[in-house]
Amino acid sequence: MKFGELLRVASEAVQWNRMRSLLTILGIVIGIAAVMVTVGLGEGAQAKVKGEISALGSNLLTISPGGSSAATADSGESLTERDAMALSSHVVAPAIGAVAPIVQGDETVTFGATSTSMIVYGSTPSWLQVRSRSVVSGEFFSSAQETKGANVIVLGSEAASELFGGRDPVGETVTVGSTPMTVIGVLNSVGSGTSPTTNEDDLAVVPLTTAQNSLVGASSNDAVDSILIKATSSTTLSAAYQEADNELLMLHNISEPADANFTITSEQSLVSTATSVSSTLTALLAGIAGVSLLVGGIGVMNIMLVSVNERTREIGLRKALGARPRDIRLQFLTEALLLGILGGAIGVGIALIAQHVLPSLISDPISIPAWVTAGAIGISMLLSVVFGVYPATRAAQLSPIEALRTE
Amino acid sequence: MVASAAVVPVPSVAAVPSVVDVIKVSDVTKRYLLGSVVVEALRGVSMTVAEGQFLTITGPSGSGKSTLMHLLGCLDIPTTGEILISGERVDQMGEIELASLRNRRIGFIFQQFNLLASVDAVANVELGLIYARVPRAERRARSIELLERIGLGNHLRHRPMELSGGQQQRVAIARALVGNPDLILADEPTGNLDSASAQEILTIFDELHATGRTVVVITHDPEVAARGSHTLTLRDGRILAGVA
Repeated sequence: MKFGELLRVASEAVQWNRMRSLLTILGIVIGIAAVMVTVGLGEGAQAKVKGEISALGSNLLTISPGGSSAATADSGESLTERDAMALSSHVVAPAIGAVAPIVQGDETVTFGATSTSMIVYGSTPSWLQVRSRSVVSGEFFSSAQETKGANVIVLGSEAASELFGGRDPVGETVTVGSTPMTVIGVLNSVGSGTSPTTNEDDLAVVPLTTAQNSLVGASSNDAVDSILIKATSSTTLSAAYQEADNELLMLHNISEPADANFTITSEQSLVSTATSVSSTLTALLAGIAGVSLLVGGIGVMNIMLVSVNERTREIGLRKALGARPRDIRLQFLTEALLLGILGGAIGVGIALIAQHVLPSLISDPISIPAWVTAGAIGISMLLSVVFGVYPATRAAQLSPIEALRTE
Repeated sequence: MVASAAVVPVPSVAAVPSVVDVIKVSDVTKRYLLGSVVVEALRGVSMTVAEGQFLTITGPSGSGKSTLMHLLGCLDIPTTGEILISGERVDQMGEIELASLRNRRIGFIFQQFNLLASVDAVANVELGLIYARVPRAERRARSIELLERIGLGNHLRHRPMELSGGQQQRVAIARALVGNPDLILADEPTGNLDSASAQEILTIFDELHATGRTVVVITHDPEVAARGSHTLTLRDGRILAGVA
């Protein structure tokens, strides 16, 4: 029989048993949709994480106070401005490109009748370089302003629009806590790619000295909350790590690295941990979805076997009329293939709809690559044929006499 | 008409030395296992069916009619003995060769009609031609022509469920004829029909016989058996009586 002929006979059989055909492919439909959405979620998470890497600056190291051991965990104010200055030395730490000491506090910022809460960072002018940011309006504060603790503030784009609407805030005066400060610049927007808890646009930066003098929660001595380090390039990141580690151990008079009262983390290591966690999770979920796909395939086999039993007389008749075993086998395989294609196509359709509908409900991006779509159709075809072989062979091996005798 | 058909028409081409019988069965036995019991269904049957004969095979149930019908229809091969269909030895054939032989030489008519419920009359008739690799347009043309000749011209697109028993059996007859086989083999063709429909179908068999077709009908109904130009009676796997 020609393939077109086989396809016609198969589609007649599929249409004749519409309800059963639908139930047969349901397992495949659900399996394919589940696998595709899971992989899509994984891909979406990876893309998001990659976006975060570039938002954070991939050469970034964060030094926080407190060590990893229990004895040193609570050494709250172990980092100082002095540490930051020492690390800035190109002689001591050639792999370190820029250093920004940070104090931070949650502050209420008021302009006229509008007030909003945001994280206000105190830092040095190198903050811009360390965080890979730029000023789109006005300017950042200078070293001189930082040294003398000028009451100036640079707003993130979202913070600016919250307080000023569409107006240009540069030159206006806002109140931070109880201190009036002059807005001298607005930062570029990095988008909402980052998580809501650390919105990189809803913030303000003031000179470090100003922060130490005025911010609630910030101590007035030269302790800092953290020190950000930017390596000269991503290849020197581990060298920068070593330099910072050695220098701080020396400055803090600590001989055993295990006793360190500070912790250096690389944003990249956080990100890669997050990535590997999410890809493990994706693999697990995809595995579960894959099992459901397998169950779907077994469902196809089950229904095909029932179908072969039910159509024994048809098989007997076809054989009596001259169908060879391979004609019968091909007929049932084509039917399985058609069911697989149908199931795969419907599953793909559902997954593609879910790709557009789900993200607004679960706030996680879903990105289904084209190869996943193609693979899904391929897998459902393969699955249906693999699980169709046994029923088709059973049908092909039926003796025409037995088959015709069946009531 | 019946008497004249008994005489096998000698072909006008004198070069052909002898007429090839449509069926030639020599000393055939058939044993099969039913559970652990060996059943001797046929115990040495010899018979011939010449071209143009209308042979009815009759006998009580268990006499071996069905087994003989399966062997004549090339649905099965004998345990011992020889069977020739139109001169082809079939008793040694494999499954694939038998399928091809059935397709070319034999038109089946069953008691249960055995039509495909999911497709219309035309698609049912053309079924065997698909396996003979006849192009679709020709298949449909031949099927429609036969259905029209058999009085179902207005029912071409009807599915079996939309047809009466007699009409269904006529579709089945059209299906048996469409491949232009050497032998029409019918198994209780009127067994599932009311008497009016049965008469209709038997009339069609008479017409087939009259146009020179070779017809073998298996039946336990004496009235049907009497319609044949020849009759064979089977009992306990042997031919009891009859001329063939």
